[in-house]
Amino acid sequence: MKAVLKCCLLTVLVMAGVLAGCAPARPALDAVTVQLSWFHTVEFAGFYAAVEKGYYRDENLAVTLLPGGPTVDPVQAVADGTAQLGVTAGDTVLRARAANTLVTAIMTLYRRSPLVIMSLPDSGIQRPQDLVGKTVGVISDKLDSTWDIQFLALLKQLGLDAQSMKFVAIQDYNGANELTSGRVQAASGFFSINEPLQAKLAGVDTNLIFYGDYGIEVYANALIARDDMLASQPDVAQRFVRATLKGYQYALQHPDEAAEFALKFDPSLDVKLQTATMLAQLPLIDSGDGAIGSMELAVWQSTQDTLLKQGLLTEPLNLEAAFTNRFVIPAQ
Amino acid sequence: MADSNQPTHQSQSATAQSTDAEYRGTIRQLILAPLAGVVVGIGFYLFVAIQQGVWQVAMGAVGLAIAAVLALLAYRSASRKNETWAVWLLLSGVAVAYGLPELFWSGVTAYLAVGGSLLMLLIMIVAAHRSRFGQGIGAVVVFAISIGLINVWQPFQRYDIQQVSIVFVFVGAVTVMLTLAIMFQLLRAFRIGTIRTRLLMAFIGLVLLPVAATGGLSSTIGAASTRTRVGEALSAIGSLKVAEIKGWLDSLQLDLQVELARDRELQRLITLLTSAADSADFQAAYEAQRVRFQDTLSLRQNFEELMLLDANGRIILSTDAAQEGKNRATENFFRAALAGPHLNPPTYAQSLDRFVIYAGVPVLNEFGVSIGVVVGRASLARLNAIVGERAGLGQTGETYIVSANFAILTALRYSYDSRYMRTDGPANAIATEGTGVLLYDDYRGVPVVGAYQWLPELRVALITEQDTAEAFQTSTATLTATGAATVLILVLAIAAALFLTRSIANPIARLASTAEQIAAGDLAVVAKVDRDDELGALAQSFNSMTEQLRSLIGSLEDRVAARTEELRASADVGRAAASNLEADELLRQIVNLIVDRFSLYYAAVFTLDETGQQAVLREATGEAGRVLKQRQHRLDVGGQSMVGQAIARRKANIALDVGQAAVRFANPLLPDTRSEIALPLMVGDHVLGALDVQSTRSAAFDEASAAVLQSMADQIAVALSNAQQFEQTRLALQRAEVLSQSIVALVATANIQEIVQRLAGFANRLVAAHRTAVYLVDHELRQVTVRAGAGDLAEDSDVTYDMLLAGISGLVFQNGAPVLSLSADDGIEPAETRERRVRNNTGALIVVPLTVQGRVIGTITVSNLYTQRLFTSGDVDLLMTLAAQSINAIEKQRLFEQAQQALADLDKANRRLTGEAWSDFTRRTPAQNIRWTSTTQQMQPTDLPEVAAALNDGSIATRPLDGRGQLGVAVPIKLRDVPIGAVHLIVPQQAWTDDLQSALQSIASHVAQAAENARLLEQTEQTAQREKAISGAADKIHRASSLDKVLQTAIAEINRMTGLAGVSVQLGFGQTEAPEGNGHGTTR
Repeated sequence: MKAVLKCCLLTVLVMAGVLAGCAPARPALDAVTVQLSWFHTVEFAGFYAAVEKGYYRDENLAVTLLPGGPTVDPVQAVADGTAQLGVTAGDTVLRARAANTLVTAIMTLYRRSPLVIMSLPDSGIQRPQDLVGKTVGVISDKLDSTWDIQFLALLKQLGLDAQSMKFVAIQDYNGANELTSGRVQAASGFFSINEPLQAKLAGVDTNLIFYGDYGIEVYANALIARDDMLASQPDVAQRFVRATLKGYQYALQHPDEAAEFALKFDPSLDVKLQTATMLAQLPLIDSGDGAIGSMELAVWQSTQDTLLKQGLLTEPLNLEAAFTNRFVIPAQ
Repeated sequence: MADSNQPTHQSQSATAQSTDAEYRGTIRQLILAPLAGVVVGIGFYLFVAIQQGVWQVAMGAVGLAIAAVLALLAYRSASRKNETWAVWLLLSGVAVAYGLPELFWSGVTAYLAVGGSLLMLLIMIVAAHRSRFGQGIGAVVVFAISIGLINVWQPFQRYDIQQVSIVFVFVGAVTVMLTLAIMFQLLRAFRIGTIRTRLLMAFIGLVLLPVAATGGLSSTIGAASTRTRVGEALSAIGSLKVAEIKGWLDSLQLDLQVELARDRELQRLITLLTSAADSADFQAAYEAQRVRFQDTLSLRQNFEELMLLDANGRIILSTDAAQEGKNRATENFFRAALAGPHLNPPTYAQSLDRFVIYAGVPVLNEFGVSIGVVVGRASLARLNAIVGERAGLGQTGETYIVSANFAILTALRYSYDSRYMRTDGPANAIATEGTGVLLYDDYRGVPVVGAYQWLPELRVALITEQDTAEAFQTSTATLTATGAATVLILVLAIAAALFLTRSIANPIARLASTAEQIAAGDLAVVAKVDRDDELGALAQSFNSMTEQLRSLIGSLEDRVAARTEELRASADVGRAAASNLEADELLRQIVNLIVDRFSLYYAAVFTLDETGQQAVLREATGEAGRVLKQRQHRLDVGGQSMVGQAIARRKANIALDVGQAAVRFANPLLPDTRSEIALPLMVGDHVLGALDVQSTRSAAFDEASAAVLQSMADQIAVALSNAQQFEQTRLALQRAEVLSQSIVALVATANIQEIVQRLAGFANRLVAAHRTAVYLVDHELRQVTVRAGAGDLAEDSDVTYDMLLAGISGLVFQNGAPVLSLSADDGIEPAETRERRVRNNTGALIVVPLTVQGRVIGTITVSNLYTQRLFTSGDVDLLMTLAAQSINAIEKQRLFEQAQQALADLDKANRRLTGEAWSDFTRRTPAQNIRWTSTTQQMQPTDLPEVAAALNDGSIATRPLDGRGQLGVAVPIKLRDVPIGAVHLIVPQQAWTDDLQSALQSIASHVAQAAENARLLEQTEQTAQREKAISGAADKIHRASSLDKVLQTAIAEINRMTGLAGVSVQLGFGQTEAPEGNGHGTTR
């Protein structure tokens, strides 16, 4: 017995020693800062899940998520190195590239544009043509925000004259307040998953005109990185995208948990709204006929067309350079 | 627990002390050995915790540290002889070392539970007393349950330790090694044991292995075949649905194709796509096409919406007017359809807020250029309907469709709070884009069999699942039945094994314990015999062996007593045999002793006669013996008698029941004889005779008594042999005495007649003859005269026979050789005298010649009656010696008479010559003047030169003596011409004449003769004296009572007589030596 014990012990010790010696010395974590496009919200559920489920750590990444806001320009943050990665709308990518700020979109959070023109059902506004003569809420008075530009492009696409309607800047983004107050008959630049949802939750039915239905498709929240960063640290981008996709997959499957993850980043959020938002954005994230996070050239084409129409781009860009799916769908 | 010092081993109090000491040693080793490992483990965990930055890993080190402290406490307890407490502390340590990590680690619950339990078991197997085993098992159970509860409650934030593979491997490896150690211990525990344990193990093993193998194999094969079958069934259902879906999808395509099939309709579409919206053509075409689409929708019921899109993606026409004017340029289905007929995977339609399927075909103008697409939008309702049909899927089966992104596209049978599903079925289908069957847990966590199929057209997976419980119901039932049967068989087998083991081992154990009891001396125990098999036979044999042992030991004393008595009798007989050298007396004593001491009917001793052909009854008991002895009862050697056979075969001849004896002389004088044994009397290889004993009991003799009797017979034989030798010696001595007496007497006798008379007497005594006659021949050699007689013949003296009628004596006279004739009929006796011999009842006779210088002057004839003993050649030799001695005497007498005659002649001549008588002359002569000298004396020739001259010359020598006229005369005395002496005389010179000279010569010759006679006489007397000494020694020997004494005496006497340094006496059986002449002999 003694011999057996000793034998066992010895084996254990030897094995422990060997294993301890073999244990892969983990390289220092790569610090990655992400400048989000907006305040913390479940829109970024995939990032939160990747953090909470340790997917980033598994990829040896130490990820910092910086919340955005009206005053934050993610492209600028990425460009000046404040953040390695940023989340921003597709048109800003093209405009930045046109301005020789070389950033590339490597993933999109939404495959469908969430932008809608919201109106109350009794307004009779079914189509963009119905906006003529109406007071339409816009993001900025100057109509220079991304969303406003798209709205204008939409009007132009349909041959509608912007002068035929009256624009006022939206002041209350809570649900359909601006509509119900009668300040505007329609509100453009809303996210289908946000204000309409709030209105719906508040028991207010709304009519929605999707920008996408009229060919105005711009990736609302593309993940961008500087070109030089992608050239020098492609593995970081790859690992980040892989972990983030895993996070989105997790969030898709566990919407309630994803909402709670969002609350960890901003406890002031309303979990109920966050959950509803999460559920609502599922088809935007996974539109069904393409890989999650992947982007279509046609959408970038549409984005460029929009910018060209608005005169925000003077000439077409090499769209193949502006975005890539190679991190979302790695070559096998 | 406090009573731990009391040894719990039963019935081993003697060894309890040492066992306890060993036990404590074991516990201490058990503690110390892993302590080093614990230290290493703590270091390991801390290292990993710091390296990985996971504080939970460090809790493993905390657990180990607590365990180490407990182990040290246990060590102290063991040292203080509190073993039970030590074991409990040790068990607690293991529980902490394994339980604490469970609070903080997830993913290793099973390893911790199993590893901890095994380690606790190991500790108990090695260290715990059996009586505490139940409590120990209880502790293990509590530990395992605690681990389970911790796993459920999860009171702390746990870390998935599987992410730190090193720790996971470490814990796993330790567990595996503990398992191996446990198995090794179990093997050890069962290796030794009783035959019963081994039999039981062997039986159970024999049953268990095949049953387990068969059961396992059939279960495996059954499960595999069931799985295959179930998988095939599910796949078949899936395939049917896939076929149905494909059929539907084909019909979608067909519907669109039909729109373009006819020229008129195609032209209309082209018009719609190419004409301005406000043109009349467009309006007409629009209305017609709209109706057309509407008809198709309602007729075919495949699509929800049909639309026409231009090359820019704008919806020109739709069955849903609200859709017109929208743009699908960015949508995949549009761009794909523009390139060719296309079926789009289910995709999200934002305005509809649901997933739809788009199918599209391009509209080609006359140049084959795609100028637009006709697109149909179908809902998933049809798919839902197809997969929702659950025929053939039992109570639990279902089919559903999952997109390539794991989105659930169709309704599920069971509630599920997610729109995505990543179970193994969909995961495999999507990963492989293939087909297969799997066993996995479905979205409910229920084990299912899942068949998956990939629909490349829609890029979706069709999953068909059924709960394994239901799918494998039949096989589970079979398995259950098999298992139940296996368990039943096992139970029966174990019962049978127990029974068999009992039935085999118990009797053996009983026999063993019985044997032990018997070995311990208890002969009363009896092995239980309750079976007919080999064991029963063994028990029976065992019992009969015990019985024999019992009776053997029980009767041993009787037998020892009887045998002792026999041996004592045998010893008595032997002593009697040794103490008596008189053969007849010896035999009489022996036979009586035998009959008396062995309680026999009759005993007899036979000895072989001289011829060795017959056994003569020497001595026998009782009246029968007396009569038989009187009859001189004889039996032929090798004849029809027990005795004859025993002698001839030289081995004991037993007749247990005389009626059945093949060879037996039935003696009418011994009518009561029932059994008889005849034993040869042997000394070495020499058979002396036989001992015959008879009993009135049948089967009175067996091998044992035969052996005793044979040993007795051997002693008798030796004694008999001794007695015979003694008799012979005695006889020889007696004879020697007679001989010496006779010689002395004969020599001393002056008269021939008297000599002859005495000779006859001596001869008669010497050979103990019936009668003796001495014949002397007359001078004419014509007649023989009985000159003397002895014994019966005394009155026949002086009978003269004619030579021719002298019978054998006549032969001896003629031949000069002695004759031994044993009977009148032996062919030696001449016919003439035979009748006389028969008439005289003469049996054996010896005739020896009396020979003087080759001339037979007479004979000595000794004879016995025919009833008396036969003479032997020894007798002849004795008589020859006597004859030779007597001849001396006779010759001496004759010489004496001749000397007398010569003296008389000398006297007469002297008278005549000197006128004086010789006697006067000698009387006158001074004595000193006549001297005997002999060559042996130192002479002084110078004193008497004439004597020297006479001795030298052998003739008369003279020397004149001075002054007196006298002569010194020396006459040589010659014997056979050799001067042996001289007669010296002083003679007056005038008297010295030739006459005187011749007279002196005559006298000298007479003197020589007389001197020779005197020498002879002296020699004879010396011989006689020596004979007498021998006879004296023999007498002493004779008087010695024992053989030892006889031998001692003989040695002493011979030593004395011969003065030799060493004398040895050899007897028939061996040697007796008297080393270094001390006169003391030892007998071997």
